[in-house]
Formats: sequence, C-alpha cells, structure tokens
Amino acid sequence: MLNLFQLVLQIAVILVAARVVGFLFQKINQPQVMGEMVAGILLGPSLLGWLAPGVSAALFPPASLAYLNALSQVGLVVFMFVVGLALNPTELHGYGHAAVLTSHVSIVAPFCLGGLTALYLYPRLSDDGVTFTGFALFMGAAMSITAFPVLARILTERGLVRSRMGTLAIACAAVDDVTGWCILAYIVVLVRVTHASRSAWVTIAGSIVYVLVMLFVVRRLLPAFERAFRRRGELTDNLVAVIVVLVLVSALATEWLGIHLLFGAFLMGAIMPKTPDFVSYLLHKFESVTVVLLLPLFFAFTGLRTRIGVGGGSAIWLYSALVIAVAITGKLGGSMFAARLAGMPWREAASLGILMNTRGLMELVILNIGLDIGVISPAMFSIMVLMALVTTFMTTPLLEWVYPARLLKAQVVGAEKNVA
Amino acid sequence: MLLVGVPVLCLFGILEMGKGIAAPLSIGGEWTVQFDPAANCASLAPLRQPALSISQSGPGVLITLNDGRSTTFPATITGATLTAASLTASIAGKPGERVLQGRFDFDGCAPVAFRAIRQAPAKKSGA
Repeated sequence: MLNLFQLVLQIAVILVAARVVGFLFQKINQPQVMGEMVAGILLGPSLLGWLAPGVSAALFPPASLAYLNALSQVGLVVFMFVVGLALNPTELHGYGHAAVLTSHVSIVAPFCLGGLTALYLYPRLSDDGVTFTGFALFMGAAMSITAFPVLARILTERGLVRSRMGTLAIACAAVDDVTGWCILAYIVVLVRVTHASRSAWVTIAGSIVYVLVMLFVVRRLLPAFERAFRRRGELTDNLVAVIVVLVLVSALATEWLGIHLLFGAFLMGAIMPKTPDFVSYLLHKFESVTVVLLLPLFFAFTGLRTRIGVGGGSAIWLYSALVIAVAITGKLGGSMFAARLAGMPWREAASLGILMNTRGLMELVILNIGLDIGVISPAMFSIMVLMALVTTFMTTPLLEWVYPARLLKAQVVGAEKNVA
Repeated sequence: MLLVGVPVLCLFGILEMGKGIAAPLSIGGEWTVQFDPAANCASLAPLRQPALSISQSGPGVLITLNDGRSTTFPATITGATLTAASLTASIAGKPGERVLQGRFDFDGCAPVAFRAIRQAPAKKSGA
C-alpha cells in the first residue's frame, strides 16, 4: 500500500542529495549530472546501506521502491522524448568522411570487444536463463553507447559546441545513439520473445508498421504544432497536453509491441519539427521538471539496485577492471583511431575519442532495461554502472589534459573568424 | 569498409563460438516452498510465501528468506547443486520450470526437507 509520507520523504532526500553532490561535482569541473548520478549510488546499498543499514532500510524499504520506480519511469519517458527532440538529423549532414567513419567505428569496435568480453563473463556472471547471443549483444550495445545529452552538456559548459571537434562529436554521438537504440530494441525483442508466447514476427512486423506510421503519417501532422507556435509565440496548455498524450501513446505502442516504452518516447521526440526556436521552447517546457525532479529519482532508483563492492569478493573488482578497460579501449581507442585515419590531427582525434567515451545516464537507462528484462545479472549491472561512472567522470579531466581550454578556445575563435 | 566489416565478421564468429559455452543453471526469482509436513521446527513459522527470493549473478547467489526480517545468506551453484551454510538442494527442470529439492538446516531443528517451485523465471530487480 502507498505510504505517501514515506514517498514524499524519499523524494525530498533524493533531491537534496542530488543537488548537494551535483554542486560539489561542479566545483571539481564535473557536469552536474555526474554528481546526481553519484548521489543516487551513495543513497543505495553501496554506501548508505553499508554505513547505516538501519537508516537505509527505514528510508528505502524494498516494498516502497515500486512507487519510486514508477515515478522515475515516467520521468524517463519524458526525458527520452527530450533526447529525441534535441536530436537534429540535419546536423549529421556536412561532416563528411570523418563523421561517417568515426561514428561507425565508434559503434562497431566497442560492440565487438563487448562481445569478446562476453565470452569470458557469460559463464561467470550470467546463467542459462539468458542465451549467449542475448548476453553478448547486450554487452556490445552497452559498451558502444554514447551519452548524447551529457556530451552536449559538457561541450556547452566548455564552450565547445561550435568548435569543429564539438560539432563532430555531437554528430557522431547522435548517430551512435540512434544506432544503439535500434540494436537495443532488437535485443529486447530477442530476449522477450524467448520468454513470451507472442510470435517474434508479430513484434517485428508490428514494429515496422509502427515506425512507418510514425515517419509517414504522424510526422506530417506534427508541423501543425509549430504553426500554432508561430501564430501565438507559444503553445496553449491544451496543445502541450496533446503533445504529452502523443508521447505517452507512442510509448505505450512500443511497450505493447514488446520493445520498450522508452523507444516510443524517443521516436516521438525525434520526429518533432526541428526549427531551433520551437525545439528550444519545447525543451524549456519539458526539461525543467524532468531534469530537476524526475531524473534524480531515476538515479536514486538505479543506485538502490547497484551494489558496488558488496558481495562477490575480489573477483568482482577484477571483472570491473576488465569491463572498464574494454569499454575505454573500444570506444575511446576506436573513435580516436578512426578520426585519425579520417585525417584529424592526433590531439583532436584523441579529444573526440575522449568525448565519445562519455556514457553517462544513457548507459544507466540501457542497463536498467537490461536488468529489468533479465539479460544481465545484478552483479553485471553493478559492474556496468561503475563503468558508466568511471567513463563519464574521466571525460572532463582527460579532455583538459589532452586539449587544454586555451587551445580549444583559440580553435573556436579561429573557426568563427573563418566563417566571418 | 574494412574497419567496419572485419569487426562485424569477428562479432559473428564470437556469437558462434559463444553458443558452446555453458552458463550456471538459472535459479534467480521468487520461489514457493513446500516443507516436509512432518517437520517440527519453530523457524518455519514466520515464513510467508514466496518463502525464498534468490538474486543470482553467475554461480553466486544471494538467498533472502521471507521471514519478516529478510534474512539473507550467500550460496553457490556447482553443476546442478545449490550449496549454502544452511541449505543444500538439487536443481532440476528447464529454465522456465525449475525446481529446487533438498534440505534446510535451521538453528535448533533437525534438517527439514523441502521442494521449491519458481514463480517467475526472470530476475526483475537487484534492489
């Protein structure tokens, strides 16, 4: 039964922890979201549950987590819509060979290495309820993801959005995200179909019809919102509510089809009109409550499922080190190598690799899906969460070391002069 | 083309190679337990169904008793046998229809025979 007092108390504690740790992380030049992710972990069994098990059990009893999860899932649906909304396919044009090569290699290299690691980890951290194919493909997808939103935030905070490397990183991350989500949708179908009575063909055919309807019917109707926005300079509350309902219906369609409700929300955002002021208006409408209130709940829920260093002995740390090394080698190394081959100087190629290695909260979203559908075990989940934290944390200091801010600013100024 | 094609071919090779790898038997999830009706043990009284909740990561598992205190203890899977300090059981059946059969050693009681049936095959939460 819902204990409203407990739920509100949980939300308050989570928000305070998220803001405080986020603030502290900003002080050490980390993005706020990195601190919020860490705050979630600190509230879970990895720290609070370890230091003060009584307080942890009183504040987050297992029976209460379903409500926290429900709220965080609603937040994720809106967040995925925002991610799709911010994605602009026209940005992918015009970056030529470097963008195409880097984005493809930055998916394929970590994917392949993730599959190779699965050969070692499958008998150690999985079970026969999951096929090796499902486990290996999930490992590959989880290794190859780039956190488009966190990357965009890091670039904005460092004033790099307009630099050549910044725009290239955004374009590659966008390609990675779309590809990663497509692969993940396939894995979810693969895993769910083996456990469900529904035929795989129903899911596959239904998904194709759904995507076609979204691209060729719904997409053509959406400019009506933009026209209404142009007429009044804003959208009425009723129109905003219609957009929310469309997001929810799209999410429900993909959930019903057996993929995942987040795919529907993401696609709805991706097909929205992309004129900058309209996108900016919608982002402003949807982003605040999602980023400030609902995402920290998702981080806390993730943290409550994460048991870094709890149980498993020294082997878990060995597996963690292996996963982190493979993730960095595949993503950072693969992107850097491809960018260099495409003709970028070493310093820029390395910086692009560092940026592409940022996994952030998109990784957490994928990992939660993996744990929910049972394709990864709780220990594997914790290891991958640790990997996501390490690869996100290392981005800013490594970038500063490889490509100091003064050099980057000089490049931006140079690029602006060339444009002028 | 080479940079993408070769890794993709490698991936197919890895997936083919992995099909021959055996993973530990899956026992994660909630379990309904039937104890020997002849057993006379006070420790059984507070147990409510599903009496066992198992969180599995490879051969290592954490078993939580639904006894009101959420007593948790680690166990290990070796082949088709589940072993913990206070429990030994054999694992039988396909992944979707798994059954545990063995005995519990509760403090102050003679070993109690049990048979457990899994409620849901998928692991839903690590929390």
